[in-house]
Amino acid sequence: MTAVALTGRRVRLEQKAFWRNPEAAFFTFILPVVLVVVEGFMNHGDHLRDGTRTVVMLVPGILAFGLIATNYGNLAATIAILRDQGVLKRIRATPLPPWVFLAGQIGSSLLVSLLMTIVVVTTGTLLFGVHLPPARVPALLAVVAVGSACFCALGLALSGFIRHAQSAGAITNASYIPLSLVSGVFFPFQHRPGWLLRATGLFPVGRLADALRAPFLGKSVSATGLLLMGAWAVLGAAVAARCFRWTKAAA
Amino acid sequence: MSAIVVEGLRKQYGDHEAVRGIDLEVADGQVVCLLGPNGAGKTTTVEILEGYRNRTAGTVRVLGFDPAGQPLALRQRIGIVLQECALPADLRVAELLDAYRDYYPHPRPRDELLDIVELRGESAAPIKALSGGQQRRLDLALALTGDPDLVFLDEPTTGFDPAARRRCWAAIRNLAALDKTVLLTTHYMDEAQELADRVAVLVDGLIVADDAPHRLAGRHLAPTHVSFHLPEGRSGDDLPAVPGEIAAEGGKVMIATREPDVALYTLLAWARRRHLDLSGLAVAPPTLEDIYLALAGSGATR
Repeated sequence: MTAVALTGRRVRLEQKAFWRNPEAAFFTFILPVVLVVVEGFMNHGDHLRDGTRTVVMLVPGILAFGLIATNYGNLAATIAILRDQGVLKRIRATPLPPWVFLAGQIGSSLLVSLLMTIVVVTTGTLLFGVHLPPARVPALLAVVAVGSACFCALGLALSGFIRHAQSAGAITNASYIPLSLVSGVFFPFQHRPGWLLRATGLFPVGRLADALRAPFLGKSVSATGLLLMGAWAVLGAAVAARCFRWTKAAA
Repeated sequence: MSAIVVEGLRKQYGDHEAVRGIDLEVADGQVVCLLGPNGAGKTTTVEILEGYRNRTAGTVRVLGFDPAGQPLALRQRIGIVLQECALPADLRVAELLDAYRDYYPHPRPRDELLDIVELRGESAAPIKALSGGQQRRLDLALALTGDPDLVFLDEPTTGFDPAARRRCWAAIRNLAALDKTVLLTTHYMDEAQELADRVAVLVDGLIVADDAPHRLAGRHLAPTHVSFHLPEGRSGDDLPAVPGEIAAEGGKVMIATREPDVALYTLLAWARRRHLDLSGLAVAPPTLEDIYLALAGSGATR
């Protein structure tokens, strides 16, 4: 079997495991949809000072949060748990090329990301009339792809620093939820101090939310934002290549 | 050819030398057991052979390869059951087996694997619905998926109830019947006696004995136990002198002797002359456990 076909099979197997695990499926997939519905109704009819409807900012923001939760949080935690259980160690002793295993994990994450994008955007469109011009769909998908790849790389890098699976959830959440809040992922601040704006602008979290909003606002996607996410992706991949572990740290 | 050749293997962790110079050869088709207490260096040794750990010194050849770095050609020909490994709970038995079958160039048919480990009926079951013993047997089936020449089993039945152990042993015997070379570690004497062609006793990082279970060197260290009920009206003082230690308690006599033939002859002659009946006479040869405890004791007092 070719490596590509094998990667496809790995993706399919990971998908089965993902959807059969209600906890993973809920927190990574269902939660963003629920957030869109709840926050959408709560802010229905509200406008920002520049006249933009709040939901138009909210829907792509929550999509950004969902993509980070899936590709970064869930991926890092899954790897840490599989490592603690010995599953990675066992896989490493089979002829399956290690990169095919990782490609399967990443492929499965990307597939969930694509589905999430479709469901979140469709929900926003049907319930709240958030309009995405068809011509802007390719731009949105490109941002989803770059952002997801960036956070997959960072998730793999982070997994090397999680010593015990029990702390995986706490570590992953602590590393992106506060940053999401100060970066205006859910609610774009209308009066963010300049220093905070500059600081959060260095991180890919707020950059992903901004890049996802652009197609909905009729703006072009910021090349700086994409480049910055690309740079974080390279950094993440480099750290992951050095720090990824297949076996538990010695007791 | 020998499946495994180990010469002068050493492994140092900081100040502690966990493996202190092991020589071991496992011939093709043999089932060899590394027997030893916890902390003797069993898992360290096996994980070096599996390629998970690097050695400090010595030469190691597994199927002709140096296992360090886990080369692909070696991974294709070995099967591993780890001491601790959870299986993906949300998958079904057949799904996991088929996934593993994809990894190997010449996988065994799924039903054949299920037959070897006696899980044919569980093919469609979710893994989380299996008992611990069934999961361990599935683990064994996964190790056999690639039709390996050599299988490592690290403490395959630790923590099992007797029935689950028996079924796991049956699966391992099925595996030996396929002419696979097996390296098994355990701290259960009966497991070694039951399954192994050869037992290497590992104590404190050294192999202190290495032979067939029934011929294990060190057998002289452990006594045979001869026991019987003391005849009516006789006391322990009336017994003849026999080689070994005599203990009489509550009408029962227990003799621990390293010369059971001499002891028995003396006893029976004594009883016959006096027309006594040695009721409940029993002769228990040393178990592997006795030998093991004797060896572990002598190893610990280095």
